Amino acid sequence: MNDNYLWDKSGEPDEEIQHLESLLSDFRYQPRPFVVPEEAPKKMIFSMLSMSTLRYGAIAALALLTLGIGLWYGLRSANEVEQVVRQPQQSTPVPTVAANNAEVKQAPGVTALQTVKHAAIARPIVRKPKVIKRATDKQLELEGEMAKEKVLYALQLTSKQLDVIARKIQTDTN
Amino acid sequence: MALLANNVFSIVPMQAEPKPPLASSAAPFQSVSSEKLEEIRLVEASRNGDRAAFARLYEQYARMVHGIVLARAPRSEADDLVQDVFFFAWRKIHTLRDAAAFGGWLGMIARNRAMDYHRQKTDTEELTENMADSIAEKPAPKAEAIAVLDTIRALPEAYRETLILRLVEGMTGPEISVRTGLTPESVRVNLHRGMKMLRERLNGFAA
Repeated sequence: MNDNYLWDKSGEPDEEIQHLESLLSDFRYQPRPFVVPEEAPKKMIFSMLSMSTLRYGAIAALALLTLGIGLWYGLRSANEVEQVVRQPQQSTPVPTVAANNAEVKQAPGVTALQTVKHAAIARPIVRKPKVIKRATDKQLELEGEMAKEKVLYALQLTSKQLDVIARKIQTDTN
Repeated sequence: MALLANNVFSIVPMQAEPKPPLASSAAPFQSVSSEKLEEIRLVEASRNGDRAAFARLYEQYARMVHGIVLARAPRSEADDLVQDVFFFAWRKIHTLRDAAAFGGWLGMIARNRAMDYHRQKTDTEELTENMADSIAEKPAPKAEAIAVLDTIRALPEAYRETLILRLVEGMTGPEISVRTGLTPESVRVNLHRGMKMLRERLNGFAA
């Protein structure tokens, strides 16, 4: 096989390839006039926007999304604080290390020291009270004190007004 | 017909003789680069709605598209599919970002359109007298030719497309490379291996 003839029709012609070329020329493309539509190529929205515009738009969208998530999370945590303030404090028993140690039975052949060590390792994680809860207690105390002061002030005002009314009555009767 | 002639831009039919190779083996780079520059200019002009520029691209690429389509779709559909591919390309040319990749992009459209040629056509074209004549004048192919074409079409995709462009459309290796966007090495390998495989199969049939 003549590779050069197959590649670019140069060199000595290959008879077999020539035979195939003439045989298959029946299927060769017959030039036809092509009518280009008068309608101009359609423009897409994205093609009109430059890449930099798209990039800035994407960054802005991402920033808005982050802001939205931040706001939502902030509001959610604020609601949680409010709920904690409103709810009466439940007296849930908090498991203690001593209670856990009491539940652990001493296995036969195991020293008391080993049992205590195992109990210390196996004890469950005790939930620490939330910092938010401590803050709300203080807040509650402050609010209570303020309310007391308001009530006292209101009582003082009413007593003074009662005194004024009593004096008026006395003067009227005299 | 008169209304159609006023509304559309038609080009002069191509010459029947195949064009000389775009790039000779002696000086491939110079001729390829100038050809490529001209092609880029035509693609950019077409993007801006220049119909004459797109008609020039049609002249240059019709054979390649025909070959690609012929490697997949029935022979009777090939001519219509070529027109269909160029209509589609004209409408979508604004989506082509790299003007230098026009050949590869067009080839991809041709492959996709050939794969779903049986889908209902939405775009129709009025048959002009010249087109009707060109179809009527087409002689019926020989049985041997049909058998050889069917054998080529049964080859692996890379070989069948390159062989059809070379043996049916009469394109040279360098021209196939420039038009399709494949490297000259790939085209050369595909031609060599495809031809070897074709010979084996044809000899097998003969025996």
